[in-house]
Amino acid sequence: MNDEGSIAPLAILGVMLSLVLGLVVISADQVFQQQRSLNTVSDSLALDLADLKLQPKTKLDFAMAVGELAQLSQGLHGPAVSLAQFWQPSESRVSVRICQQNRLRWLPLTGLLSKSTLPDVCVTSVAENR
Amino acid sequence: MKIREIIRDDKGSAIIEFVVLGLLAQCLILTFGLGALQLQRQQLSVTLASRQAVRLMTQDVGAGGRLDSLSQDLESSFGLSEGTLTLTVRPENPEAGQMVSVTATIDATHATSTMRMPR
Repeated sequence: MNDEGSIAPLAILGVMLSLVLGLVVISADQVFQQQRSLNTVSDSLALDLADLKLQPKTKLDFAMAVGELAQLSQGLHGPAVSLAQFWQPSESRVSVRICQQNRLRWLPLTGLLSKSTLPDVCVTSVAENR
Repeated sequence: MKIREIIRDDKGSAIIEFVVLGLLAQCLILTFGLGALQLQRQQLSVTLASRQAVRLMTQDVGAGGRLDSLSQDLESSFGLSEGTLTLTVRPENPEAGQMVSVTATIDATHATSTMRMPR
């Protein structure tokens, strides 16, 4: 076998591959963090709506849930949060699904992956009143 | 020198290649990785701390005075040194049906959780 040649191309390729891998890991971590932040909001919303359900003369509907979401998500960074689904599986239970646009969607490298595979980050929470 | 000649040229010192690629580059990657890991740990800690604190506040109106002890418990759970985690409540004495926010801070990392007090 012939082992002549410079190590420079190998080193350049190695560094480039490491950079790409690093960016992919960082973007995956960012999505994870975004999901956790959204989860905090969706849990609060579900608990809030479950509490509202206990109030006499209160009829829960989608518009009311959107209003509560707007107040609860005020401190959240990034694009606006939208209520994707709201349903009441039983008399005491409330379920919500909220979505936010993937924050890394428009980044050159990660955008290529996330635009087609993960345009929005969504989470679901269920709460029950007693 | 042409590019082809540069690529074919294998003159050089193996020691320098080992030191630059094997030690310096690996140490840089390790340092960056450990820093990123520490940052992620802090982010997870503040998120969890703010969630727990705001939940405590909504369960008990007088819980504001117990946030210091909660903060100490969380610090020992996360393996942080004493006084690292700061919890800030707004408003300090929330009324029924009012929104309450708790911000957890560790160094420059912070997270805020908001919930409505039971009506």
